[in-house]
Amino acid sequence: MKKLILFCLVLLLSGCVDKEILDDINIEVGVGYDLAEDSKDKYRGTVLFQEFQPDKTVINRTFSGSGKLRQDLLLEVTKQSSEPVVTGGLKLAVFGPELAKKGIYDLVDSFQRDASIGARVFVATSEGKALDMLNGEYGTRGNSTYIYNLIRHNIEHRDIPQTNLHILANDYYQDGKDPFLPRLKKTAEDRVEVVGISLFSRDKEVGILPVKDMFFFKLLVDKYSEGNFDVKLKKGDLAAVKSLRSKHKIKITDNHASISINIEGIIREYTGDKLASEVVDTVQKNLEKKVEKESLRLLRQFQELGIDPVGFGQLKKAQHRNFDFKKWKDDYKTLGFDVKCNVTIEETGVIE
Amino acid sequence: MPGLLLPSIPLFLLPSIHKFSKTGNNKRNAENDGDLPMRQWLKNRRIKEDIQHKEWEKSLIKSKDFKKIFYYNKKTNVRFGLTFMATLIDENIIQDGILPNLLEEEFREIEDIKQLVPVADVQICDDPSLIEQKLLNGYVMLTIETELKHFGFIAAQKEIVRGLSQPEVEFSVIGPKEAFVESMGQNLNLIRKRLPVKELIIEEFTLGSLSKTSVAMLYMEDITNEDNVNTVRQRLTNVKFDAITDSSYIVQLISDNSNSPFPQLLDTERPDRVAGILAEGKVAIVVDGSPHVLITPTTLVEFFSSFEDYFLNWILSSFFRLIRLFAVAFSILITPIYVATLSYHYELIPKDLLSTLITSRREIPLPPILEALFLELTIELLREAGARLPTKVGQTIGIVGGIVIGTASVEAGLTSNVLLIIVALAALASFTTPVYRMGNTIRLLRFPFLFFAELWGLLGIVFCFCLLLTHLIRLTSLGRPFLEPLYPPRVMDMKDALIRLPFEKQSKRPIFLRTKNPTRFSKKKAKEKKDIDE
Repeated sequence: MKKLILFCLVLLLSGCVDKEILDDINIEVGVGYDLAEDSKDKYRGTVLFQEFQPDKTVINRTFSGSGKLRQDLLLEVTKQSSEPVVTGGLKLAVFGPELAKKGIYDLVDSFQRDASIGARVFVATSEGKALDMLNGEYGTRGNSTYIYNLIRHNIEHRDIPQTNLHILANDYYQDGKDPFLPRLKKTAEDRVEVVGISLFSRDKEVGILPVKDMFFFKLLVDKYSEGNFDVKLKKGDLAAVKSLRSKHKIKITDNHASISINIEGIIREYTGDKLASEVVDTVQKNLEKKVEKESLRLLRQFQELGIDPVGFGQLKKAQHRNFDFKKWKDDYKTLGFDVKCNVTIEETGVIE
Repeated sequence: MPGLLLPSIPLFLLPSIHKFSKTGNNKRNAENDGDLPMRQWLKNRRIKEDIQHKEWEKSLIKSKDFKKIFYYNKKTNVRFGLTFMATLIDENIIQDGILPNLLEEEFREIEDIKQLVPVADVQICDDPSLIEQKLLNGYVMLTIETELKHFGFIAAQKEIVRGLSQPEVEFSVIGPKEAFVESMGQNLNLIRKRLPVKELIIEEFTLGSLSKTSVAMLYMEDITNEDNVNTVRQRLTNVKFDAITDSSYIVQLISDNSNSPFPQLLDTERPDRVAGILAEGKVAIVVDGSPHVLITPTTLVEFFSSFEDYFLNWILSSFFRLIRLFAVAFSILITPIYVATLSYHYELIPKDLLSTLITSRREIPLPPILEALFLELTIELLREAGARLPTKVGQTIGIVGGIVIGTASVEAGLTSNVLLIIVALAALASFTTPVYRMGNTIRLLRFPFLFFAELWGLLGIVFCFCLLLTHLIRLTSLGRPFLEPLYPPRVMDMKDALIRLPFEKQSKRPIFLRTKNPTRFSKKKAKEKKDIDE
């Protein structure tokens, strides 16, 4: 009897599960949000789908809709789509510039609540409309895959600090740390590039870090495992330092934060005559000086903007009992910094 | 009460006639002289006695091969009869070994056959109840007119035995190529040859009310746990079945849980494997008429170990065992995972695989479950057909089925080519199981998993796996846990389970067998350096 009941339950409970057969659904792979032109508290969303052709090519298809909630957008899109729209395949979310200034968290929050959306979705801001960005024709594997891979390899090998939906939400909810997002720009119909980092205060964009500062920014907030930087030497010579590995350590006392950055790398290219050991020393020193100077400048800039992407507040909170966040807001404005950088050039290539 | 009366008559008659026939034998000539009333009386008695004898003859005489022939000895003129089943005995033995001596030499009483008949197995007994059994076991019965209460039995069995051949199911490239045959004597010979010690005990049972199959239980006296031996003995004696024609019957009749799809006794056709497990302290059961010997108690992992593992270096054999385990998991789970993922969990599919899956499924009208069932059933059909058809036709069917049906169904848009690859691989993986019986179980297990994958997706697979695990944990082989050494965990027994450690590390017998002598060899002595090494 028990077994019979169990068997019936197995059969009956199967009605509780929604079936989403792979080829009978429309998988949302990218989404872009812009502020609607007509009314101010509405937004216009663009959903990107991939349509796989039998010859293995991918057609990018976008649907747009507007509303106040993300659900409104899905409703609008479902009206236009031939198959039910599901969100589990989302890889990329792009926010347009006006929306970023207005605040993005209401929309990010909806991603968080949707259990089928993974934590490793890349969130980015765009220069120009997000709609235009998703409407391009990039690469052969679909727009979302293209942009996703673009961001991913820039995180792994270049100057974008580690970022994704999970980190964004973590930074947002954590007192004493402000989120930042990579900023993209559509430069041609088939081209997208990274143009900087959007700095947020809570969920509103307050500043943009240009590409030239991204190296120093990443040194401060993340660690390098495979970086790249060109060092200018006196006579106009250039040395390319490759395979950078970096670590930073922050020590925070009452009103002072000392940051020590450790960089290891090898010289891959040098435009001067001979790469003598004195030259290597100069490269090290120049790089150290440059990092110290630029980092300090960045930190000051953050202080002026009233944002804390490095997370000094969070660090201090972790080290101090009865941390008062309201007091910290004032303290941060007067926080003093010093940056100490130590560069080690490990080798200079096979030619001596 | 006829039942009470009937036995009382022979009881009363037996001693008197017995005595009389003895005296009669001595006074034979006097009788011939003509003591008529005495002779008449004797004759009457004899007729009565004959009728009693005829009880066992009654049904036998209906058979065409029942022979009863009378002869006269040339010297003593004694009339004797040979009774036998012509189909069971070797007539050459009668012609060359029995008759010439009985006819020519001086033959007076039954006792003489021990001197006259040059056959090893000659028995004399006076219990008429044995007659039927002996006759049907291929003995020739010798009776003398003068000694009605004694019978001589001379063994003259005709042995039709298939010659030794190579193992077919458990073939190995390295190692012995002998396999068991259908004759128990031959099989026991193969085993004893490999373990020529007095500790190897062979106990025999006769099972089956009709088939009278001889079943032998083998164990090592000072090694095997007494409980295991007793359990096997008890289970064998308790078998109630009329015809046991193969060891598979015994597997099902004496296993702990006969409702389980898992075989709880390991069967093998390799004598070396049997010798190996006897040395470990397990019990082997040999059934007459079956080329498969049973091994008990056994564990799940033993079904995935081939005896070839012991012929190869331990690193290689460990690797192959792991591959086999992976193959089993793969074979059972891959199709259900395909169905579950495609029906419920599109989120889990890597974005690069998405395009492959979607394009291959675009034109398929069936949902994943029907698609999978269609292909699985095709494969099962091919297997069944391949097993039933003669070898040469079977090969053709395999190729035709595999290539033509598969490709055709992809082209016709009934199944996706990704699934075709998956199902073919799963079928291939299920053939890696060294024990055929377990291979069949794995074939079956895929279907409940498919069912649950369709109902609940990956959750269903996990649920079904829990059911399977519960079943396996509850399963015992001869009262010993079937999942050992995985559960209950026995680290010592891991040395020869999922992987096989080198022989130096195998100095202890498996713990779960609770052997009387747990040490196979002294590790210390094995490590001792010989003079020449120093």
